[in-house]
Amino acid sequence: MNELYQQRLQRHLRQMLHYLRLVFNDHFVIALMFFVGGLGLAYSNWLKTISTKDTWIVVVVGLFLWLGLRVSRIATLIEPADTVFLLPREHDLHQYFTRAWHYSWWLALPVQVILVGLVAPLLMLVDSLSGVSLLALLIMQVALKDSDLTLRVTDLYQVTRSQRRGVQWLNLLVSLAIIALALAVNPWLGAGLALVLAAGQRWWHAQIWSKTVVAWKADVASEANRMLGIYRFFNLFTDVPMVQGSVKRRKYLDWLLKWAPRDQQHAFGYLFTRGMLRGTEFSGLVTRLTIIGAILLYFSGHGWLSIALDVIFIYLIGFQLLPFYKRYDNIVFTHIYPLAAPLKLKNFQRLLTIILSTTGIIFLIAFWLTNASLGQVGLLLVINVVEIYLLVAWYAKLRLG
Amino acid sequence: MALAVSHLVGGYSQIPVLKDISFQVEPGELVGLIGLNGAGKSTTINHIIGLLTPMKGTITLNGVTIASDAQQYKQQLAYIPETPILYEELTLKEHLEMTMLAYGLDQTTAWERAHDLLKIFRLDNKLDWFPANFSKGMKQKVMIVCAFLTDAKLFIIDEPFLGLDPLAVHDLLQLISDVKSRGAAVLMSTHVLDTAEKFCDRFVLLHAGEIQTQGTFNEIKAQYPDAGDSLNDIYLSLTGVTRDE
Repeated sequence: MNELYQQRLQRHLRQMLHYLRLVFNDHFVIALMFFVGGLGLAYSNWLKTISTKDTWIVVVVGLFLWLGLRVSRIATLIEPADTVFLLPREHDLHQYFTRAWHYSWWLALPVQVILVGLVAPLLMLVDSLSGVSLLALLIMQVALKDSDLTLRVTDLYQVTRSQRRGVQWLNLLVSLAIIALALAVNPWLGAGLALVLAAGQRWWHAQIWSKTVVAWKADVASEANRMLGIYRFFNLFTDVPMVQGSVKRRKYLDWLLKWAPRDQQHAFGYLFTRGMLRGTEFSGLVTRLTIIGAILLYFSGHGWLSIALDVIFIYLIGFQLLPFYKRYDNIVFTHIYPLAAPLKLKNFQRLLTIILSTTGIIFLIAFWLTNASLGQVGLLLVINVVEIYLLVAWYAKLRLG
Repeated sequence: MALAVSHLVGGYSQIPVLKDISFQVEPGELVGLIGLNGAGKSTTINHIIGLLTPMKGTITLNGVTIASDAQQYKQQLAYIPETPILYEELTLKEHLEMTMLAYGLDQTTAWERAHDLLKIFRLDNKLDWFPANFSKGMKQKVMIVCAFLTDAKLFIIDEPFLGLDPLAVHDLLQLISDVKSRGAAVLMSTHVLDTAEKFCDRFVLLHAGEIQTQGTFNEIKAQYPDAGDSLNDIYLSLTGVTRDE
């Protein structure tokens, strides 16, 4: 079991490294450095305006530390197939979970250190906290996170729902109380109580785990959820195959569908419009790029730069929508419907026109809001119409036809 | 005749899986396509529904081939796949509407039929759900409803009995007999030989890409008098699989 976790962890880390390399490419690192530097500067400037009278800050710090405890979960690396293959060795799984616990603990530690580090200057200013007291605060925070993680491991087992809820709430409330005591009375008191809480959680865990069974389904689901969160983050920067767009009903968009023609000539359109509105993958892409484009356009004045941005963003959206044409090719029915072959492309072009025109209009409004003259708006309108026409009628046909 | 497959040679790559296959399905007839895994049933079906192009031979549906008039050919055909295939983004209601649009059906009459079918398969209260989240059996029922919504002249049904509850199997057999009586032809592939023996009018027995024998149950039995009394026994002895007794 130890080896199993070790193996999975290695594979997991390799994968994370692979994606991190893609995310933190040179440009991004430079941008990030500027961003962090800017934030740091703003923070230090703000610190200068704070005096000992601003006691409300202590409350905010307390809540901040408390919420910070919820960051980072247990990386169990459990897979769906484990419910079948590891079931016979369920008792040994505790070893595996212990390894997961250790890994997650070391992963959580720097986060908590950074959290305390972030609020340290505030507390020193407002509460005139000494360095030793800050150490006590750090011990408290780590001990509280320890008890949080222990509870999360206990939750991997089947504890009755009321018991689970009760203990979770208790842990949350006690944590908050300890943080409050530490900030209001004495950090060392907080540290001591937190250590007691952590020990208590460990004692409860030791009592309970061997008497119950692993909550397989919940564990698989929560691990999948955790990984999806990570993949989603990476997906912002690069293509992650594991993130398959999910489907949402989005009933509030149904009014848009009313306008679409419903006859045999537009059967594919019927499918495409619904797929576009309810799938998150392509609709998310259009929405993101349209919003970013509009904001950039608004801040780039009304010169050549904004025209270039407008052209580039419309092209980007149109270009990235092209694969949607093949979205249903693996569904056999789309091949056996008695529909004339060119209809599919025609229906797709129609949808593409509608989407790109909407984006174009939003861009025009953003551009117009920058106090561009009517002549300039008209010029951009002509450019948009020509570009969309070329993209849809010529380029899409060339690529897909 | 409704469907005529003649001297079909075909498969997915250069090497043919099907070696010179010929059979017919007459209007009003249910023909069972029987064969082991890998015998060529699905390949045959994929050729008939037009996913694969024959290397040699022809497939005619009431005188039309895919090459001569693809639209006219496809208009006459309804298909129920072995594994249910659904659009993730469409609700049950929209699956039905999509089928109506694609086949150019009249909405009012098609919806009347749809409601009957939905009631039979107890899906009438799930119109606004995404069938992609249904259980296997319920997904299969959606496929059945979509197929029987059309006025097809040929129904291709690929292994319908696995995953359906006994009630649904009964209802499906009833639907098949209904469309038969209005003159539609049905080609059904299955491994459930007991049911096939009872309900199919004729059988096509495929083995290793060739037709081993075809005919009514009695014809086949007369042809192989020593092979046994049930379709199961006959089929096992024909394929050369020794039985443990």
